[in-house]
Amino acid sequence: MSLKIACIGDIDFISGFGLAGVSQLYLHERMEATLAKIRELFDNPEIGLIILPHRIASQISPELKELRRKKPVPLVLAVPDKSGWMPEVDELRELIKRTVGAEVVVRREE
Amino acid sequence: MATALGVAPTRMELIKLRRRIALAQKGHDLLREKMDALIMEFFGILREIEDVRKNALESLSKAFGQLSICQAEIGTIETLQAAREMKRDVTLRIQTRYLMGVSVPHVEIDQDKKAPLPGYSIHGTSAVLDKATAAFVQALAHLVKLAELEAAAYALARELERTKRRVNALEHVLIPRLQQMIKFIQSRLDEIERENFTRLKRIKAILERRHQ
Amino acid sequence: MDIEAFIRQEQAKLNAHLPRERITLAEALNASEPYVELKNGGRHYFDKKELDLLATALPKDWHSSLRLPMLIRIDRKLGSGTAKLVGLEARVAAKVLNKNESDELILYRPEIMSLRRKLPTTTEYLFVP
Repeated sequence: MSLKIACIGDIDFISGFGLAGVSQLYLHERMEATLAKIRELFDNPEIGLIILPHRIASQISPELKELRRKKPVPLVLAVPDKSGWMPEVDELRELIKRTVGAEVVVRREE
Repeated sequence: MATALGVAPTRMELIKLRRRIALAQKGHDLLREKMDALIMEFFGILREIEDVRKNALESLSKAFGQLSICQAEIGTIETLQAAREMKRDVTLRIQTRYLMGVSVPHVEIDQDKKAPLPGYSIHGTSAVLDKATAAFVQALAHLVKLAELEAAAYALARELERTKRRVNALEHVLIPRLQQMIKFIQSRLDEIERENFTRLKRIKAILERRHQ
Repeated sequence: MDIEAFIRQEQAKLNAHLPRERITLAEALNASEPYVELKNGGRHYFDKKELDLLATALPKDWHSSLRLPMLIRIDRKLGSGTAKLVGLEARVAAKVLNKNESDELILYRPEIMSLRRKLPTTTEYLFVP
């Protein structure tokens, strides 16, 4: 079972990943349309991974979280775009703080 | 008070409660072990993410650099055109693996071997396009690995939160409630015993008075 | 709340990720997509690179004796953060970790993490009730 990669972003973003062999390329214009596209991709059993820039992902993070909770596949990966922009708050770091927090630091030092 | 706690102050009930508290403690310890193991796994994955993320971001930034050079030379629209006409189709194979009941994905990337790197046709062979292509192929491989690890980290974190909630419920709600019940029964039983003792003493006194 | 039922349920869930039946290393090496069926109905796939590693760590005669996934036993009696492997699994794990081989291998937290890093799909935790 082979799954496809989808990529949503500006022209630089989709050009680059297109060159790498990603076949499902979508140019981001308006946020509503992009979100609708992502929902559509989540309903498509042929899609295994959605790559999008942090710049977009950070604006629809609650929706993405909701989609991820419901389905493990496709995976979603947010990466910097050509400008290198990354959110100040790293989602994973926040998660660590919330789930293990100070407790683990203490336990690890035992 | 007796009805508020919903228990009858009997020895039988006391024995039952003590057994229950031992059971709850055992369940708590088991879940705690599970939490420890989950934390170990979580940290293992986080460490891996650190390494992979560094490589992935570096290679992606290099790839965007190559892309800029390519766009400057052959044009932005033309580059996109070449990207859209790529003959190579990268696909993924995703398998499920389980980690203490948590389903985590395992992703393998299938680079289309049939079409060699320069799969575009209309522009002929362009060195800058080749370079940008090779750079993005490399970045994508790192990014797929990163996506796999991040997904595993999120799945583990969710299970960790769930387990933590259960441990907390046992530790801060269930076990204290049971302890409270035991304390209540114990004090009621003591009270009854004292009453019985006083009553016995009184009866004894009455009986002794009769004998005199 | 019925505590007995709650604890029984939690205990059942604790080991629901274990396979219904384990397969041998020899069987796994012969399969094109080696996996085990789990008690919870899921499928757990083994990584071929790990199978190759095990195949070199263990003489060929023993390939049909080693059952996978190998079980890292978490037993409260051993104390927190401690685990145990037994039998052939203990010997293979010791070899992978460069430790002295014996029929019972006790591991502490850093060693458990190291074993899990080397064999993420071919080892699994077993919670001893």
